[in-house]
Amino acid sequence: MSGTVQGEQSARFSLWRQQQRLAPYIFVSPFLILFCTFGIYPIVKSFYLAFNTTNGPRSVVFTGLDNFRFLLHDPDFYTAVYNTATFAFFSVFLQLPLSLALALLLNARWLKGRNTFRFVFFSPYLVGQVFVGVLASVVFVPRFGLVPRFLHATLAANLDIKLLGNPALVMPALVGTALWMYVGLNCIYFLAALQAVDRELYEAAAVDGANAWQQFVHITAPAIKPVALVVVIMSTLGSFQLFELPFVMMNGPGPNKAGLTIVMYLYQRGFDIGNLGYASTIGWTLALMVLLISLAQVRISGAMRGNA
Amino acid sequence: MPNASLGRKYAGQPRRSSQPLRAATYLLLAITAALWAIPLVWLVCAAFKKPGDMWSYTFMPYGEPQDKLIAVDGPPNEEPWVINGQEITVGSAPGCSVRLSNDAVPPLALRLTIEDGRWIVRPGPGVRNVAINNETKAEHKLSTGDVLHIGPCSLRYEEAHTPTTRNFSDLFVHFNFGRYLLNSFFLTSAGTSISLILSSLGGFALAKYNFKGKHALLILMLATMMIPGSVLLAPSYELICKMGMMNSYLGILLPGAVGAFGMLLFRQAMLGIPDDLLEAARIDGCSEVRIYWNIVMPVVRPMSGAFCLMSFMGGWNSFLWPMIVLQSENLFTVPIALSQTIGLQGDNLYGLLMAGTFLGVLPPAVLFFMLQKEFIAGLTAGAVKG
Repeated sequence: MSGTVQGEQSARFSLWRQQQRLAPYIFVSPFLILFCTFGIYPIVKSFYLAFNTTNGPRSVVFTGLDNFRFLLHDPDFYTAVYNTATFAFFSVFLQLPLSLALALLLNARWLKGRNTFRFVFFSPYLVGQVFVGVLASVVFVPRFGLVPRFLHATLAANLDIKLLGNPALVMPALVGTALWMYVGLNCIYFLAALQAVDRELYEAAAVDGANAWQQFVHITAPAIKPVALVVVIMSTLGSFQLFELPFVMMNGPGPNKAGLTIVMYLYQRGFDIGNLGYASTIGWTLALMVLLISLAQVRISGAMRGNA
Repeated sequence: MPNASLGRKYAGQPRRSSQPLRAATYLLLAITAALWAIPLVWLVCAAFKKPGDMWSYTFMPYGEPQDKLIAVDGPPNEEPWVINGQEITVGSAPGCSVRLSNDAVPPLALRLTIEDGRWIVRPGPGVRNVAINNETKAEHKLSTGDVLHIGPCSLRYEEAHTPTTRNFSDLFVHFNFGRYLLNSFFLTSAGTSISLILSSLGGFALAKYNFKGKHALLILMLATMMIPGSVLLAPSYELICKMGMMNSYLGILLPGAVGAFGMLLFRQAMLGIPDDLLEAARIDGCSEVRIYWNIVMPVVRPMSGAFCLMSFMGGWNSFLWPMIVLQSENLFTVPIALSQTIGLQGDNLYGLLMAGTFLGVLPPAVLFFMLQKEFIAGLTAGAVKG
């Protein structure tokens, strides 16, 4: 009698041990299965596809390095890289100082309505790239749109200025729109870093006779440096993956392909023309560029830290 | 004593900013804020504008019905007005550049009324020589290519400059916008729930258990985070095709369900939970599933909130991958419908576009208003700590 009870107990106990032992595997397996299928497999497959020419998903022909050879002599690819790099350069180097300046203004202790200002600056980010693109396409309408009217009123620009129709103006329009959209986000990062600085540091510095500039250089700058690096890397990464904004604003690459970005070119090649192989080649080239640029940025910031 | 008073002087007003400096700060902030807010204010106004008002009032239209006089340039009757040419554009289009003059020059030949976004011509009092396409008519709906011959006169049109909800009703009646909104809500909430469960379960396993291959998995996830998402587009498309998930929501939900970043965030948050707490629960007879659901998840609640918000935002605005997967119009989400269906109509549907954008922006904006704190926490979770 007691033996069976004991056996039952030990069976239950081993079941208990069993569920403890198996739990992590069960917990991680749904994630793992999906991650392997839709995260790892595509990466491997993409590497394979980069050496193939495809016509749609079913006809795949191995062509070795042909894709890379073609890429090196592909003027459209160079246009896309040039546009994307220009966009990245200007959006990072305009956004960084502007969002830092706004964050510094917002960080003033006596400021009233800080949350309101922060919300206003941040709100375009909430709108999202596609919706911003739709809005921009209407706001940039020559003669009647808000932006041509504003430029006409403030800078005496021609009222018929075709911001999305003139190849020379497409990039400024894109950079401006992205600036409007992302400054608030970066401002929030900077503001969070600034608010983490102990106010007493400033007070101590003031007592020691440090002026505002010295306080900025010796207290504020070191405190926001890590965030600045994150902001630079993230906006560079984001800029290099730019797609929705120009695609929706100009409904494609724009006049003279002035708004063609790398991802848009990848999309055209892979999904309009159907060459998934070449699209993968473009994708891996993009990945390589992004990797090198991030590494360089980390290096540069490390070197700057070493000097300081 | 003098020392103490000096100390208090500095401590009490450590960085007393001068009045002009404060004023300058407020001014700068106000100007920038105005520049940032105006396009969005305009968006809201434009969503409620009548087609004819789209460009004639910068912001919200107002006021009672007004008569306006249109003076005819040049010798009348010799140069006909070509509708949709230089002088008048039919419909809501930009280009209604007819010169308006307030000095009434009788007799009035035509009354142009805007109804349903189209100009309607009726003979006015004292009409002479009015012909539309060489026919004299009592009422005529102008359309593209119509040619108006008018006598020496001026034209009058009237319209009420009041806000309208017409754009919204048109969206729902003519464009099935309710369906797109439902699609977006379904896809976004399903995607958010799935990735919340999977990421938190996986993060829990990685944070609080030891199992074979744990470190390999961590390294693998970190490595894939380096690779931009666009690398995955072509092979994922091929995979989805082979699995027969094209043009279905599964093809969007499954690839989107697992992000290494979200799972690492959960792992990070769960690492901070003391092991003793979990051990005590085990001694009390708590199963591992209950530990996850009743102990761990409540502890990381703030993190889950932030994760859900970011996931919702990302899903709501996602565009490229759904555009590749979805082909039938009745499966489209709001961003895709807006840019690919309504945006490509070409007929100057600016009012409809703005109304659709307004509706599309509303859910994230409302969420932000309700959950500002969690939102900012989620945004800065990955960045500021590092």
